[in-house]
Formats: sequence, C-alpha cells, structure tokens
Amino acid sequence: MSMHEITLIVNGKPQKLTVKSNELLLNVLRDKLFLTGAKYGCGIAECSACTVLKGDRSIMSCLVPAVAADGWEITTPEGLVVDGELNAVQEELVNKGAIQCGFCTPGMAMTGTACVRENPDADEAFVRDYMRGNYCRCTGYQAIVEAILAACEDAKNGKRV
Amino acid sequence: MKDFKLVTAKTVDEAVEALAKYGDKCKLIAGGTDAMLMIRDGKWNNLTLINIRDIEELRGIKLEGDTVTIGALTRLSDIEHSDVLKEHAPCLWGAAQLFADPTNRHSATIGGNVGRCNTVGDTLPSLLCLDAVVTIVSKEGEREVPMSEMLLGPGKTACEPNEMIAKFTFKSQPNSAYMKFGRRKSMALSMAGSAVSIKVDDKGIVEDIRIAAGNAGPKAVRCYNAEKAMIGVDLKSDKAIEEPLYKVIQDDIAPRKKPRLGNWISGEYRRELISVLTKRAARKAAFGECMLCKQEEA
Ligand code: FES
Ligand code: FES
Repeated sequence: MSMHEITLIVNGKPQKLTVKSNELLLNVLRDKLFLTGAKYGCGIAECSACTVLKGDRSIMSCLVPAVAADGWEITTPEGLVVDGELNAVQEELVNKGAIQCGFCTPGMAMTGTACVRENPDADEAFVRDYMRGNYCRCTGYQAIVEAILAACEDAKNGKRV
Repeated sequence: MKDFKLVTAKTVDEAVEALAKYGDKCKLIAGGTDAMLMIRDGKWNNLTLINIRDIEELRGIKLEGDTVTIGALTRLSDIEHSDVLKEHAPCLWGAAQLFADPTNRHSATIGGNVGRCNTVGDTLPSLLCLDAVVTIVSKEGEREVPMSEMLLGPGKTACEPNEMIAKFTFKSQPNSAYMKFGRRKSMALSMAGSAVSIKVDDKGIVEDIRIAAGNAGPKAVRCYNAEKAMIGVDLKSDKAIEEPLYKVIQDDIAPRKKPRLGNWISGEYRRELISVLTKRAARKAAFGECMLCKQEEA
C-alpha cells in the first residue's frame, strides 16, 4: 500500500485529499467528503447505484481507484442540486413517483442526467437502452423511464439538467 | 478493498518504463471495468497497477487515405459515436453499441477489451474480421502483430509482460457487420457473436469474405474453413448459404462440450447460433439492412 496526494474537483470545488492506493473513488466521496448520495450496491459494476458524472459522462465510482481520478471533475447526486433546487431529472423522478425504497434513485438521477445531456431528443427506446445498466428492485422501471422522458421535455423548455 | 499498489503513467514512455520495472508483478489498468473485478475476485493479488487511463496520446480515431487507426485507450463510447467508423468499419461501430451499457462504455477501452482477451470480448470478432494489425510497444521499441496471432486464450495475448498495446490499424471496410446473441439485451455477455467483412458482385455472389466468431471456444477465432466454403455462394439463397456454412463452421470453432462461464449453452447450440449469426451478418454487411433476416424474424 502506498499513500498519494490527489486533487478532486467535486461538484465544482477542488478538494485536496490523501488517499491509499487501494481506496475507491466511491469510498472517498462517501467517507472522506461525506457525500453519501452515490451508493455502494454491489462493487462489481452490476447495479450502477454508485454512478457519478465525470464531466458529462456517467461512470461507476466503485470501479475507479481514487488515485486514478486525480484532477478529474466529478459531479455527485448532491451536485445536481443548485441553490436548493433539484435538476430536471431529479425533480421528474419525484413528480412521476419513480421512487420507492430510493436506493437506486441517486444512480438513476446520474445516468438519467447523462442521458438527457447527451440526447434531449431521446425517445423511450433510447432511454431504456441508456438506462439498461441501472438496477431497480422496486419500481418496475416504467415510472423511471417516464420521468427521464419528461426531463427531456423540461430540458428543451430551458430547465436545468 | 483488496490491497494493491498503483502508479500513474501520464505518457507512453512512463508506462513502458514502469512495465520494464515491474514486469509480471504488474497489470495495466485503463478503464478499470474488468481490472477492478479481477482484483475483487481475488484473481489478481499483490500487484502493482499501472494506471494508463489518462494517456491522451493513445486516444483517438484517425482516417488517412483508406487506413483507419484507433488508439488503444479509445473508449467504447468514442467508437460508437464515431462517423469514421460508422462508414469505414460498421462491424466495430455496431459492436461498441452492443457492449455492456453506456456507463461502462464511458470507461471501457478497446485496448483493454483486447488485452484482457475475454472469451466473450465484444470487439474481438470485429477486429479479427477487419484483419487489424496491433502495434505493441515496450521499452525496446515497437512491433506489429496481426490480430489473427494476437489472441492466445482467455486472458492471454501475444503481449509480453513488459509490453502494451498502442494502437490498431486496418483498411476501410464499409461492407462489414457484427451480430451478437445474448440472453437479454441489458448487460448480457454474448453467448455467441459473428463479424463479417465481405465483397459481393452485383448479383449477390460472394467474391471475398472474412468471418470471425466470438465466444467460439476459449477465444474468438477467424473461421478460415467457412470463409473458403462461402466463396461463390449466392447470398440471397438461404439454402446456398446454409449448406456449406453449417457444415464447415464446426471445424473452425473449438469443440467444447462444457462451455465456459457456467452452464450457458451447449456446444451444439453455440454452433447453430454462430452459423445463423454469420448468415445474417454476411447479409447485413453486403446489403446494409438484412432484409432477408427481417422476413425470417417476422
Ligand atoms: S456499486 Fe458500483 S455498480 Fe454496483
Ligand atoms: S426504488 Fe428501490 S431499488 Fe429502485
């Protein structure tokens, strides 16, 4: 094991951290920065509950040694909220009743945001395909897909995604 | 998390330097979508990881004349969105879209997919049928290995421990296609796949063809026997294709009674699948849309 000095830009703020070589980005976000939005579900790239954004791209933070993320710009689910206001995807997840136990929701919001930013003209097939790595054990997905489609409309009407 | 050391290489020079220093005590990590799983599984222990994720010089897709070059660290998401590949290597472009899910594709790299040489690696059949050349670098310099000699078995390639993949080069092949069959659409590993690059005359008779099958045994393979048998065949006729193809493709695919990765499918079923997928991929490669398959599916 070795120790490393790194700088992460998390939700717009540079964070200087000392991390172990085998520490995961997910654990650093949760345990050192207390950003517990991203969830630890499986740790093996199956569930996408740990999804964060690197720039505008969704990535799984359970697959990234924190050292490898040195210098990256990361957005966590908390970072989608600006001045107390949810972004369009988060808000539509609430509106459409797409949340039951809520464990998958932060990951859904992250991947959904990547989806809407990549293609605000997405149709249902595109959204289902885009979200295919995110597991939900409660909702049956229908409401989640509806929420993301609604967020696409919101985005086109100028709402922040 | 299991213990490991990590050094970051920002340039190819730094990476080959580290490879020379650590040799078989190290592994490269690029997108990490497979490497981290190997560590969690306890299959890779007491290692130094050489992080090459942010070596920009190994990223990118270039077209010069009719030659396409893809850097090893090019992400699957870059491949699926590349207009160059859509036109000049639709088989690889299509394979990228079938790869896991968009989030994995934002990280996973083509060099990683080949370097790990997974039995079910989605880019492997396409690179084989494109007859790509792999450029491998080490501290000693550069060498080129044809894709057909690159894959040695699960997790094993022609890359020595002190070497790494730098790029892939191949000739433009607009008439190529990849077809895959998985148990479901989401995140399904391929049960079988087939990539075809083809030349047909104006009547649809095969003049030249390269076929590669995925999950065809311990590794993806070029189907040389099937390629020979397909020359002169009328691509519009089911019977004309099926007879030679179904008969000889068995000789190309390793006979394996017990498939890897659990009890997925029997050897016979896999052979059937690869035959059908090859037929469809050949038609898609030759005619664009596979109209004939559509009828069949309807
Ligand atoms: S915790 Fe990362 S994919 Fe499940
Ligand atoms: S709401 Fe419970 S897992 Fe999705």
